Amino acid sequence: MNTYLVVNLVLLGLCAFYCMYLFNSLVARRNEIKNAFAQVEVQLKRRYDLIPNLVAIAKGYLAHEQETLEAVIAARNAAVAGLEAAKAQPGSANNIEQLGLVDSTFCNAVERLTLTMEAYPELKSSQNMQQLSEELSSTENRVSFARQAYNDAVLNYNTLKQSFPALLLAPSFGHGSDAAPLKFADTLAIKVAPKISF
Amino acid sequence: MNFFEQQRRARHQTALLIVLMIIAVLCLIALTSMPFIIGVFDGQHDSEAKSKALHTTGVVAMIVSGIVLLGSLFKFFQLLGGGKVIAEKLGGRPINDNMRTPDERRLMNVVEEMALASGVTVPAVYLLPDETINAFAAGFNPKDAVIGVTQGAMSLLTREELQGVIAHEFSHIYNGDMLLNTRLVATVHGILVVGLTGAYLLFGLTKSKKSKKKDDEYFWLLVGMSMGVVLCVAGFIGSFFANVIKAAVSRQREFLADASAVQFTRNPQGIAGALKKIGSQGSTLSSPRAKEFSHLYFSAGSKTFFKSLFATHPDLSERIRRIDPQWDGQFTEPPAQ
Repeated sequence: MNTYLVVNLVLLGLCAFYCMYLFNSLVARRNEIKNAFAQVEVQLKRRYDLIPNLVAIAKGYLAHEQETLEAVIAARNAAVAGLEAAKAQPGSANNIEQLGLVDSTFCNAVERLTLTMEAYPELKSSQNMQQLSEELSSTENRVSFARQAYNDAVLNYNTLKQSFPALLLAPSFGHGSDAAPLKFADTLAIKVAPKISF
Repeated sequence: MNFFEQQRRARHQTALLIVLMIIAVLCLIALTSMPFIIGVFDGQHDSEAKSKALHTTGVVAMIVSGIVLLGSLFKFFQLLGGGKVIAEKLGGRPINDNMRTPDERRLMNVVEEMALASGVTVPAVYLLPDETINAFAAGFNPKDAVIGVTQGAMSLLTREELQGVIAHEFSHIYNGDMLLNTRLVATVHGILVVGLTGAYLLFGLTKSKKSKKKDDEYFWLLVGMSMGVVLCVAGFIGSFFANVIKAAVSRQREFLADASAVQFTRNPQGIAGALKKIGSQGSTLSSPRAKEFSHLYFSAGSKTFFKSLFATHPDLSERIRRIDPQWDGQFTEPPAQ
C-alpha cells in the first residue's frame, strides 16, 4: 500500500483519538463541578440543621437572652427556605442572590449568639457545649472546604478548556462558556477600595 | 509555597524515573542476550552464522523477558491484599463508626473535611496504639482505601496539624501512589528473579560435574554455566539499580503528597507544624511488621540512617524547608501530656 496513505490514516486516527479523549475529559470535569456544587449545598444544609441543637443546649443557660435565641431560629428558617428555593431552580440567579442574603443574615445572627455565649462560662465549659462546639467548627470548615473543592474543580475545567488545542474544539463540543467560581457575600466590599479619612 | 508548581515538578520527576526504570529493564534484557552475538560480528563468520546467532539472541531475550514478566506478575498479585490487611497487621483498630473519645470524634471530622477538600470518599480509618506521630494510607483505589493514624498524632497535634497530615495521606490515595509503588515492587522483583534464576542455574550445574561426561555435554555445561553467570550478574546489578529508582520515585511522591496537602488545606503551617513536631517526637512504629510498610508512612519509621540512595522518604528538614522557606531550623517540642 501507498506509504503516504498509511501515514495519513495513522495521523487521522491519532487525531480522532485525541478528540474523543478531549470530549470525555471536558464532560468529566464539568460533572465534577456539578458534584462539587451539590456538596456545598449538602454542607450548608448540615450547618442549618445543627443550629437548633445549639439553641436547645444554650436555652437552659441563657434564660435572659430570649431575643437573641429567637433571632437565630428565625434566621435559620429563612435560610433553609432560601436553600430549598435555590435547589428547586438551579439556574435562577435571583434565587442564588436571595440565598446569599438570607445566609448572610443567618451568619450574623449566629455570630451575635456566639458573642453572647462568651459571657456565660458555665455554658462554655459544659461537655455538651464542647462537643457541639467541635461539631460547629467542623461544619464551618466543611462548608469552606466544599467551596474550595468547587473552585478547584472550576479551575481544572477552565484550564483544560482554555488550553491549546482544546480551545478550538471545546465550543463545538458544547462547552462554550467558562465556569464561574463561587462568589462571597463581601466580594463587592473587597472590590471597592476602602476610603481612608484622617 | 506554590503547590501547583511543586506538584508539576514532582509528577515530572516521577515520569522521568519511570522511563529510566523501563530503560533499565530493556538494558537488562539486551545485556543478557548480547553474549551470544559478540563472537559473530567480526567479519570471519558468514551470514548464516550471523542469522543463527541473532535468532538465538531473540530466543534468549524472550526467555529473559518472560522471566521478568512472570516474576513481576507473581509479586503483584501477592501484594494485592488490600488496605485493611495492612492496618490490622500494624495493630490498628477501626474507628469509623466506633468513636470512643472526643479526640477520635475530632479525627473523624478532620478526615471528613479532607475527603471534601480532595474529592475522595471517606476511607476506613484505623487507630494505631503508638505514642509517636505517624500516619499511613493503603489500598489501591478510593473504594478500598484505608487511613491509619497513631494515638500520638491524634493527641499531640493541633487540629490544623492533624488536617495537614490527613491531607497528605489523602493525596496518596488521590494520586494512586500505592498502586504505583506496588507496580515498582513487582518490577524489582521480576528483575531479582532473573538473578535468582542465574544463581540457581549456576549452582545446579556445578553440582552435576561429578559423573564423567562426553565432550558434547561439557560444551552445553559450559554454555549453561556462562548463561548462569550472565543472568546472575545482570539480575543482581539490575535489581540494585531498580531499587534505587524505586526509592527515588517514592521520595518524589512524598514531595507531591506534601504539596497536595498544602493545596487541600490551603494552610502550609499545618503540615509544617506536624513535621516540626515529628523532628523532636519521632515517628517510629512499634509493631514488629512496621518495617515492611515503611514506604506507606507519613514519615519514615526509623531515624534516617538510610539518608542514602534507598531512603523511601526525603530528609525531614528538606521537606519542612520546601513548605516553609522561612524555617529557623528548630523542631517543636510537642505539648506535655
